[in-house]
Amino acid sequence: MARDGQPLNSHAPIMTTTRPIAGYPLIGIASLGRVAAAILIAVIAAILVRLLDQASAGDIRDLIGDSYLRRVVIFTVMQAVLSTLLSLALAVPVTRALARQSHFPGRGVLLRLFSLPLVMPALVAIFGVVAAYGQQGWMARLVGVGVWPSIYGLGGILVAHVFFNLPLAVRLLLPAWQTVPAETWRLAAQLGMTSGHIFRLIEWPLLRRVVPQIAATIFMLCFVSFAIVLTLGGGPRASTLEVTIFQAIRFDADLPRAGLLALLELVLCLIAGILCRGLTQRMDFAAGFGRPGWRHDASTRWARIGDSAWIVLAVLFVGLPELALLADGLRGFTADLPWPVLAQAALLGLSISVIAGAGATFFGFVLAAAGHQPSPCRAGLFVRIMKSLQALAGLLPLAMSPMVLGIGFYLLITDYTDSDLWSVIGIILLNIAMAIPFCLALLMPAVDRNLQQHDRLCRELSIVGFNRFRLIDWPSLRPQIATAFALATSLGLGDLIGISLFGNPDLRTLSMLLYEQLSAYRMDQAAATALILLLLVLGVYGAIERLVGGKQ
Amino acid sequence: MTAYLECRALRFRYEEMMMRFDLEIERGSCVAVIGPSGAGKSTLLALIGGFEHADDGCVLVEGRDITAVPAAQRPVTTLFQDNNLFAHLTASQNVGLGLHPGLRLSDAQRRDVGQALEQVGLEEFGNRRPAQLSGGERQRVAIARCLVRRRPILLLDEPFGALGPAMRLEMLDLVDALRRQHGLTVLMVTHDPADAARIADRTAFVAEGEVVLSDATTSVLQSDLPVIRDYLGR
Repeated sequence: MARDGQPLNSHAPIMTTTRPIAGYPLIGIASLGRVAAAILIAVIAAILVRLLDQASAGDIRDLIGDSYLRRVVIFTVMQAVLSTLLSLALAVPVTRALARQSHFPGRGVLLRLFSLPLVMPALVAIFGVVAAYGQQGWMARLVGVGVWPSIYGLGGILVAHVFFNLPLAVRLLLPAWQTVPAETWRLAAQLGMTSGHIFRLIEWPLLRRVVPQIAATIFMLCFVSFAIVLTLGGGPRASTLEVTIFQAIRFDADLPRAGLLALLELVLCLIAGILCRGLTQRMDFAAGFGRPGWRHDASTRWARIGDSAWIVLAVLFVGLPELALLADGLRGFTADLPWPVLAQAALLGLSISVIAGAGATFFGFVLAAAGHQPSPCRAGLFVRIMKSLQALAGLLPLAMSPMVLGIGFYLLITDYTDSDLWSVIGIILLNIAMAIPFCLALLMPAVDRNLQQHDRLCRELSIVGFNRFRLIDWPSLRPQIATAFALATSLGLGDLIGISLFGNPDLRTLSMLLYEQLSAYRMDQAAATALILLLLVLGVYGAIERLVGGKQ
Repeated sequence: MTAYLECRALRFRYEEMMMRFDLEIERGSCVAVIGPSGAGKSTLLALIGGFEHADDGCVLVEGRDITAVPAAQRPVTTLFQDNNLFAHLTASQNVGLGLHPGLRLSDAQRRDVGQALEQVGLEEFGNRRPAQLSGGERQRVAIARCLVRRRPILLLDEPFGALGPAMRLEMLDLVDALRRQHGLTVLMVTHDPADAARIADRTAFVAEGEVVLSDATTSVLQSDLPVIRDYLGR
């Protein structure tokens, strides 16, 4: 690659005399990216300053001696570790089975159902899990109410986390199997390898390469998981830092303590982030569920029996809550529902999340593009500083947990005003910040590929600025941009942190409504709300992929 | 006299394309398979190697039908264009896989591996990993593995396409020498008629899923059939 301009410089005299200027570099994506990075860093700095200011009012000695807090920190780490281990322990054999049995009828539909949790709002998933595996749920009724254990506490948190992260892990693992060249499977057939040999010689090296990355991703997601712990955990024995911070601010109105806790979590997240450094940055969702190459050991009787067992187990575990959502939800519609409230909540959530989704996609794209733009010819100190800041800007929201970001925005905004308009703006800003790392992770591999393919040609023909976006980047990145937009929007629709910090009885989204109904054990209404929210998310996701991504 | 290796009315459907191969090969010969891209050359080799399964017809070796025999048990071994080696195993280990797929080797088998590496000129390279070898050296390791498997039929699927001209000639001559030494029957897919002219006594021309002509290499290369003239650019 022609980095740092040397190859260009050597031709500079010829270029200046013979080349007309083909386009005006009005707003290059690189400069947009710099502005975006500067804004993000400024906002995050403001949040940090505000948190430090708030925390200085509290007493740090209170925190150190706080045995409750120590238990919370231990529980936070433990549940994240257990969730990660469980998800992966199931995901590896399930993925292996799906990769090996690459051609059976209904595989596509099955994988679609299996990946539904990836776009499901946390609260919807919680309802499904409670309806299927709760004390009054389907399984309990099957086995006998009273015998079936309670879903609340560590067990429930783990079940809900696995419900989310098993499909995620499978989705991230399956592409690894597809990277195995077809020749390798043929070689395995030619050399007469058994499934055991194949595991040792082909699959194990593969897993060793990709599993740490996926484990780090799942660990970080579970470490900062909020809605699941708030709903299924709570109480002194099963609470995480995110929930404790929320309780300090919302129930005790103890801002100094919340500030201190937020700083503590920031430090812990940074430590965890550094430990998993470089592992969590890239996840190529877009790779999807393709079919790996033909394997000779797929059709033996034991392979079929074993693989079917794993697939059926996984599908039942994920499918039962989905089925419960649908069945209970439909039944819930017969109950007396507050339709005007529901409609208003749906509209508010939709407006907030679409704006936030667009914002996050914009930030994610310009950061992804700018972080890799080869420097201009005169790569001075300023440019190099800006480039490292861009890299930093994309990672910062990852280091700050959603709740820490949320508290930051909450403090910054409520310092000046508590009008509803500013509350909505606060929720939007928070949702943008929370979704940026996901958009970045989704867009970066695609932007990288695109740069490798087209960058030299674009610079040769001086296709720059908006022209470059319109003619080159947009047509080739459209599907990935749409996926990022759709994912960011569905995250916004499921957001509970923003709405529960800034919201009030007049300002409610479907997520908030669902949370209230779940906490009040109004399961009939919750069932209907959960189904409506799920359909809204799926509808919006599909609409964005179709309208923005141009999918038919 | 019956052929040593025979494809008899071998049918295979690949997407929209119906292929039907008939081919007879004598023991100890070297046959080049040439023809346009997408004509089915690699499919023909995959059918003989046992990696694709014919919809109809059969593959015979010395009159025995091997169509239903699993790849590992066929008297055939295949060398692919790339990805022949496992990146995390050494050259010796990669060769050793040809003797036991779990790498549990006896002392005699270990000596076999060393001998095979010697025959391809890599006796000093046993402990290197593929990343530390050149493209030509990697293919030599793969050839060594073919040798230890002691299969009478060697299938080469454009194995030297990625190599430079000098290395390519060297590898062709190595294959030719090994064929004579071990009495192998060789079937080689190639893009370059020069490869065929150098080591193949016979050539099969494949177009649109059929063997259009199978004859002495010189007659095929001078054939007046329009498909062959178009392909060769004469």
